[in-house]
This record gives sequence, C-alpha cells and structure tokens, in this order.
Amino acid sequence: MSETTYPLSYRVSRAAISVVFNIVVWVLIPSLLFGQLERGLPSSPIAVSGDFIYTFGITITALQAIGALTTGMALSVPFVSGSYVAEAYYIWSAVNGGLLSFSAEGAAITLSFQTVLFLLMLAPLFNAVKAPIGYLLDQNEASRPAPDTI
Amino acid sequence: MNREPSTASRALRAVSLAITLVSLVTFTTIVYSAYTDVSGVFSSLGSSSSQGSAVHFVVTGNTAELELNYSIQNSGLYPITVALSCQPDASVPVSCANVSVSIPEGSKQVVGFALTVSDLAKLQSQVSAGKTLRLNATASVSLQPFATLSANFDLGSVLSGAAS
Repeated sequence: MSETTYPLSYRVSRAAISVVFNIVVWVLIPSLLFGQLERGLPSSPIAVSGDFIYTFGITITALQAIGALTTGMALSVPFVSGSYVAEAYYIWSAVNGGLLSFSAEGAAITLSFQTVLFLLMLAPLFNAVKAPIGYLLDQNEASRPAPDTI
Repeated sequence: MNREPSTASRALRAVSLAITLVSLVTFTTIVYSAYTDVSGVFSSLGSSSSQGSAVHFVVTGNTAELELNYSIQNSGLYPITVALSCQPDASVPVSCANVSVSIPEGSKQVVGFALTVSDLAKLQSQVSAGKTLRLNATASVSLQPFATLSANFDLGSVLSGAAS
C-alpha cells in the first residue's frame, strides 16, 4: 500500500485549525449554552457538567488533531473515525437521547425530539463511516487499475 | 504527492456535504417554526374572545359544561398537532372530551376542549367537605414530525374554584 504524503507544514497547520475549531464548537459554545440554560431554568432538564463538556471536548479535539497530523497515513483513519463517533455520542448524551423532562409552575413538562437528534447525529456518523472508505478509495493501490491495464 | 480522487470518493464527499446541508436547513427551519408556533399559541391563549378565543361555562340543572375554544394560527413551516386530554378520578363526577387537532402550515384552526360536570351537587359537596379534587390533564403541541412538547398538570384547583 502506498500512502499519499503531505508536507509537514500542511499537516501542522491543518491540526492547528482543527484544534481551534473543535475547542470553539465542542467546549466554548456548549459551556456558554448550558451555563445560560442553568441560569434561566432552576430545574434544568439537561444534566451536563463542566467535566462532561471538557472531557468530550478535549477527546474530540485531540482525536481530530492527531487525525490531521497523520493526514494521508493509514494511522489517521481510526483517529478521524473515533472523533466522529465521540461527536455523535457527545450530542446524544448532552440532550439525554432527545427526551428532556422538567417541572415548572407545578406542571411536568416533557420535550421529545428524537427525530431532530437523529438529524444532528447523522452527519458525524456518516463521516465516521466515510473516513475508512474514503481512505481505501483514495489511497489503496488495490482500488486502482494495474499499470499494465492502462 | 496528491493523486486525483476517484469518482466513488468524490461521491462520498458529495453525500457528506448533502447530509450536512440538509441537516442545517432542516434544523434552521425547525427552530424558526418552533419560535413562530410558540408565539402563535401563546398569543392566541392571551387574546380576547373577539379574536376567536372563548371560554363558556354553562350550568343546566344539575350539570355544567366548561368549553374552551382557542383559535390557533400556525405560522411555521411544518404542520402542528395540538392535543388536550384529561383523566379525572373515578370519584369526581367529571368527564372530558379529549381533542386532537392537526393544523397545516400557514393556516388557522379552532381547538375546542369541553369538560362536563355530570353531578354538580356532588361536586359542590366534595369541595365544601374539603376533598382535594384530582383532575390530571395533558396538553401537547407537536411540530410534525420532529418534536413534541407535552405538559401534565392538575386541573383540580380550577375545578374546585368553578364548583364553589
């Protein structure tokens, strides 16, 4: 199997962009959102702690960064796929599987949004599958015609 | 160095992009619809009878009927379903006509809920004896087919007030 080589500067800059992007998307924005929600709703239906956000945010960011640093190598595939699986699990866990219950003014209120959750998880789950297939299609010699047949 | 990506690889990327775009568009329209629908439902609940909302309480002999009619405008991009139901205790002489109305996008419909007291004297004696009336009610609004918001509450205090 021959692997496509990318210059180190390209991989490092891609990893740096990935780190910034993922920290904003998976740590800063969720921290702000859940912080606002906890202040607004005394009995918040979303039991997401700071530890949860940081653990998943750092895990996803680290996996994406390693995946970017190893771009073009077979080694990148498990990291990239793993980061997308972690994203999907993070989304699912953060909203309790799309079923939120809380009480307000003496009423028990339930918000159910499994279909929306499925839509939110569809892109990361597809990308988790796409990473290995895309690698095989782009990089694998076996997926290309032999030189003597051209 | 970089090689030209295969057609299958390009197709995968296109599908990935399409999924992301469709998810984004759907999510944005859901948020917009939810916002406009919630505004519409709350404005109709707060509106006066001249705007299509009405509460009637009719006493006939030993029976009474409470009718709630609300006109709800669906200004969102998806149909909504509004449902109201209640489950009174067997000892309470009250029955409910459960209602479920589907309102297509861009249209307005009246949601009517009727609560009948079959024995007003018995209800009044229960209230005067200090009995706590239990009348569990459920109201739900569904943004078809994406999300459902439902609330369970006790209408017993309203009933006690009406009976006294």
